[in-house]
Amino acid sequence: MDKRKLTQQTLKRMMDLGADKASIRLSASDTQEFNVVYRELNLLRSISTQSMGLSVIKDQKSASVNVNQLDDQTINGAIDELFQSIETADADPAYDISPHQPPSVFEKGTLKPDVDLVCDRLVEYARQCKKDYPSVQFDATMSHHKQHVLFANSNGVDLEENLGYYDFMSMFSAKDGNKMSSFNFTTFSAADLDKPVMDMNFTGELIRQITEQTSTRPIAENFTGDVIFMPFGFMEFLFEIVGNHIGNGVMMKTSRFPDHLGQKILDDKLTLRIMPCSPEMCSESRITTDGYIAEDATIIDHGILRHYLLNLFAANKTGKQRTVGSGNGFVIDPGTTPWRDMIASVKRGILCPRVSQGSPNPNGDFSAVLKNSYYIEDGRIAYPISETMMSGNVIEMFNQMIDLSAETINTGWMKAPFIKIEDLFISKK
Amino acid sequence: MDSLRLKELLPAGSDYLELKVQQNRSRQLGFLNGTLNFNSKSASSGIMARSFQNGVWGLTSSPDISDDSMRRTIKRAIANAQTLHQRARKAEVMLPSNSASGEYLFFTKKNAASAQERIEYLREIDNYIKDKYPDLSTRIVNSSVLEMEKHIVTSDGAEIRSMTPRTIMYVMMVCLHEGTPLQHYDVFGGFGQWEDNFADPSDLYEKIDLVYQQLMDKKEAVFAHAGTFDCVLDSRLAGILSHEAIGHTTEADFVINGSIAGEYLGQEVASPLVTLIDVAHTWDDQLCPVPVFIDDEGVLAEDCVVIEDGILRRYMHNKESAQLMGHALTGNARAYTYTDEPLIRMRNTMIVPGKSKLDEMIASIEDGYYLIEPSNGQADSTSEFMFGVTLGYEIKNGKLGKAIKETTISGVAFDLLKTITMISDDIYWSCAGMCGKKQMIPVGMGGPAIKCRVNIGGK
Repeated sequence: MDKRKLTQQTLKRMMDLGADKASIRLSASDTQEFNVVYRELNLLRSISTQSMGLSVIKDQKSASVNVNQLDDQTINGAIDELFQSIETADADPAYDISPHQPPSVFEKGTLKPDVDLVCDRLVEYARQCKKDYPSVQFDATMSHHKQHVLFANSNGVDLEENLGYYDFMSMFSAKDGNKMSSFNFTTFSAADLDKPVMDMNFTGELIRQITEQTSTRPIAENFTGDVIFMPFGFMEFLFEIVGNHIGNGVMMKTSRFPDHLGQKILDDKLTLRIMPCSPEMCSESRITTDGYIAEDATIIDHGILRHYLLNLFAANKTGKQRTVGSGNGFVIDPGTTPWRDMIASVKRGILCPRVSQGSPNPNGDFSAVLKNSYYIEDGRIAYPISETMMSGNVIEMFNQMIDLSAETINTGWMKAPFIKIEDLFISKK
Repeated sequence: MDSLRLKELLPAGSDYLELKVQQNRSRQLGFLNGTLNFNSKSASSGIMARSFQNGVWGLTSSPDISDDSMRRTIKRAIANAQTLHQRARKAEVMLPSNSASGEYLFFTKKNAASAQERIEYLREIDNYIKDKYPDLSTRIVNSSVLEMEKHIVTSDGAEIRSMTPRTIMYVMMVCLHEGTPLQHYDVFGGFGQWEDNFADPSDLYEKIDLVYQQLMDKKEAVFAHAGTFDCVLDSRLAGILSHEAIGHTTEADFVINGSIAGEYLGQEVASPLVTLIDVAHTWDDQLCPVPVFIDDEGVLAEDCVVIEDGILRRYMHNKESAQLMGHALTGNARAYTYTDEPLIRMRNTMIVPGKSKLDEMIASIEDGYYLIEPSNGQADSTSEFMFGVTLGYEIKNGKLGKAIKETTISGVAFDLLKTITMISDDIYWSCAGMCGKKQMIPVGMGGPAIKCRVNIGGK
């Protein structure tokens, strides 16, 4: 059956059975994925998936179910289960569905992939890696992912999206005799494969660094200094702020900024946007999980909180207004300093491509292992380090930003520069 | 799909071929401050065919489980392997085999609990917390059920039917202390369906009281001192140590890619007190949290004794790594969803209990820490590891002191193992572990408490 017809028919059936409100999300995806394992081409996967998510609200009670078989029997069974679940649920006035919006069809990225090029780029990466960095061990995956989504609800919302993008992921480490480095990895989505992946998102630089990291040493002594985070290393801290303090954490009452709209909460050098509409955010959907057309917005404007990132339920639950939803496609505005010049201005500090950390406490305290990192002294990279930890407070960190680089990485779901933070405590083993 | 027909679909002419039908079912129920706000159910099923020819793999999956779809899927998997062969031009390789057949369907033997009964159980837990601890700002009581049902046949003669269930409950408490939120949680349940894990809510009250008490302890928590200290890692932390810090480095794919453990086979890597095993399914006559009798490549799953009395003995393998390294198969190939290829995954990784008592271990430390509850953990090919620690206490002159704030511990696992001087005589199996390695997958992690030297983050 035609999928649009199926969504409308299923929606009607849920309403006919007595739902006050109902919504449906029908998605299907196709992925062609080439894998390099142990430095050699190893696996070609062709994956098809489909999924139908159904949600019902009745008497202010809600339930949802997800199935991936789309025959009548499965769908009718799922609807029956939904209504059984509703009977046992609790009423909550916070449940709602998105309001009527103009019917829209969105299209983003490459929908007709060049599958040979996917393999070519992966083989090119493997060849280049083996030629230029023979000590590096690596696995890598390159794929094309195509997704079709239909979203409809009983308020007349009727949204459709076709999304196509390429994914790349590689994990690598180096071995020199019996000395070996830590592993590092990169992963990103791209709308096209116009460039070799080695030239994208500092991939070549990260692999070059790993070849230096077979000989590391701990720092000589504990100190407090500057840390320059490469974007991958910083994003975990950003997601901590987003999740615990301006997103769901507001509802969970773990937020330090529960009533701070329009107030300065973080360093004025920080401007954070969501840009799901941008072609650069190639893997980000234009349809939010709560059934709205996603919008671009500035969330934190020079340190001032402009929007909470709350979906419809969380907004209703907290008594706040839903403005831009829970957010996707995060972009941190870059600065103007070349990242290598940022190093030159450090008296004593760390260059940190990656961290390994436990979840910070809601009060923001954290400690983390500095991975693949370098000790910086007098404006120069001195040596790669091992067994070194960093501790601090995430919120204080976001108020101690000294500089942001001109260069950025774009993973297709976020874009960010290098970020230099002052006064972090660095400790040796 | 009956087994005879599934077998009939296997074509001749491939070096090796697997055909799998899989369904993953999940059910989430969750209370937020007394209201059932999470109420969802999910089922995802499909087929996967994987063909090995001339040293490369072709895989195809589809949600369509019809006979025609299976034939198409097999054909395309073979075509994918042929396509890749045109690019890779590898020599022919014969994969090893230790095929087995069996049925391992762990459906509960108890009367099924209705959705209403499950919800009332959770509500009773939430009411208990609300009534006894009204000072909390947030209460979360969630339950999560995952059932993985698989039917696999392979061209080397294996056939497996399995249904592996896991049911866990997550209780989180948040309180405000001097304007700052503090939180603590614990997870209950494990292997089995709901009925096998949760009978009477009052069975959990003592454990819930402990979660609250530990949260209150955090109000007075102090920063740990940064540096290396004598510590007792509680059994929960020792389990994650076994998995993250040692287990991953001894998975053969990591070894082939240069893991430091590749240098140590047959060598002393730990205190002679240490024996570390990736248990296939049964320990001490009890089923482990993730029992695997036959893996997803149809290989008979055996315990893999990774470290025996301090000596590194074995790596964990799938067919391809065993062939490459010339080692025996262990039965560690597992996949999470119907679309996934089996990867080398741990099953139930544990340090074998010793002879010491936890009290004696704490009493033996003058200035150090008793570290109890891990959050997450990560490992490295060098065996450098990191765990988040959400609960721990100072040890001063052999006695427990103040709680410490959330921190991170790290170290080089093969160095840490050599510092172990005491191992407790009990074992705790973590029931909720999910390991991420391209795919997520449930794992079991077990351990006694261990006394060792650990690098701790702090101020």
